[in-house]
Amino acid sequence: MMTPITQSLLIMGLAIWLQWRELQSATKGTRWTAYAFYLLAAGLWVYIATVIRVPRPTTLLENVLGPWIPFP
Amino acid sequence: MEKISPRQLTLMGTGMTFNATLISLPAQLAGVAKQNAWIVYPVTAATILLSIWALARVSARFPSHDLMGSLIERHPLAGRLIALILIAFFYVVLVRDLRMIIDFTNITLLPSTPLSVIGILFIITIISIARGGTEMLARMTDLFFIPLCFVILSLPLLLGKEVQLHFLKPVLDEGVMPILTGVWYTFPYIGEVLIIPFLFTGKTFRFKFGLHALLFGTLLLEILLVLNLTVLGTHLTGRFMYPNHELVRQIRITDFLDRFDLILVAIYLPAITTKIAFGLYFVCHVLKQMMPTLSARALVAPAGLFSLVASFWFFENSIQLLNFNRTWPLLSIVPIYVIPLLLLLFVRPKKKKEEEGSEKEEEKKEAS
Repeated sequence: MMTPITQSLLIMGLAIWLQWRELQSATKGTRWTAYAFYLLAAGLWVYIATVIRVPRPTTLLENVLGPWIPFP
Repeated sequence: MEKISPRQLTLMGTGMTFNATLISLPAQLAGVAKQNAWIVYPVTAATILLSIWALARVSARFPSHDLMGSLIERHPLAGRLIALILIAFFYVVLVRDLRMIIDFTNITLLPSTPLSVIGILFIITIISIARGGTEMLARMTDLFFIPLCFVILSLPLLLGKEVQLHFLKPVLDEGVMPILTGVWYTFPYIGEVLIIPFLFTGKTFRFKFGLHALLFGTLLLEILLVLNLTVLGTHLTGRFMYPNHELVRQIRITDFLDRFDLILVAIYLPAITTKIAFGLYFVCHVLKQMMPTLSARALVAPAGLFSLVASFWFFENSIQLLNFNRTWPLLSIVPIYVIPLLLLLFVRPKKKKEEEGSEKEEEKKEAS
């Protein structure tokens, strides 16, 4: 059975490999933005899969904005 | 320059209004507004029409640029702030739709396949479509959305004998409050049609295209909701997770075609995939307009993969997706109503004198 770290490394590694030539010929800004997205996605994937109680943005928004919603 | 015909533009707008709304809202609307739920869509469409009109007016002021490009060019700071708000709005929509379609496929078609596998298959398709640009999106819409429209338009004929119009009575027995609650749930979905003027130039986008897209999308949604209420009844519609899927399962065409829902799902999945790809394309395109050195095409794959992971992070399950429909409208007021109004009031092209002045300043700078 694959661990979440292996899964994320495999998927993001494959994605970067498939896009390698395009990213090398792209501007520096594009390259680093793309790597940042991949890194964030990989980190988040591992985090969601390993932590038992994941704090979710939607739950946070529901708690914070709940009192201001004018309809039941 | 990519060329889009008025028909394709209208259908893309209709798809933005219709594709995601039909699986996530009908049950909630029937639960909130009961037999009067059919009134919700026209009322919501009327409010969205004002925003489309405002954006069409602003768009007409910049015939050779798309709205976002001209906004960033005219007001670099405020324009980028608005672009950031719109990116956040459409990114959450993208994440929500992606999770919705993954759950739908898991529940109705592939119950034993892990969500992550379904998600990866979807995101590969979405990335491939979004990388093709607007022409690819328009062609995909032509290919899959037109058959979907034909099927929806033929549903009243196929289900005619099951319809019981007395299920729609009594009208407005609990006043207008349930209708307004329904409008609250619906406007962020129907308001997604506003993506069109932000992407296309003032020459390509005109008010009548936005109007047609909104009206046609609302008509298709109305057909489905009225059929849900009159065939399944208010109570069943409010309790099903996907009432439209259950509705289509009522159709039996002869003895050998008793799974009509599979045909419909086969047309529907590519249509919603195209809609999600349109959202992804928009996000990357606006990012490029904010930072011109970026390549939108190269960012589609990483942004798409991140949206897949975010869809699992944002929503624990399908129930949370439905619960979020109550909170999401509060955040959607700004991009759907406030931004079009602000643009209408404050965004105008440079006056000739102002342009000449800035040109002279540039010339001076170059000379020095």
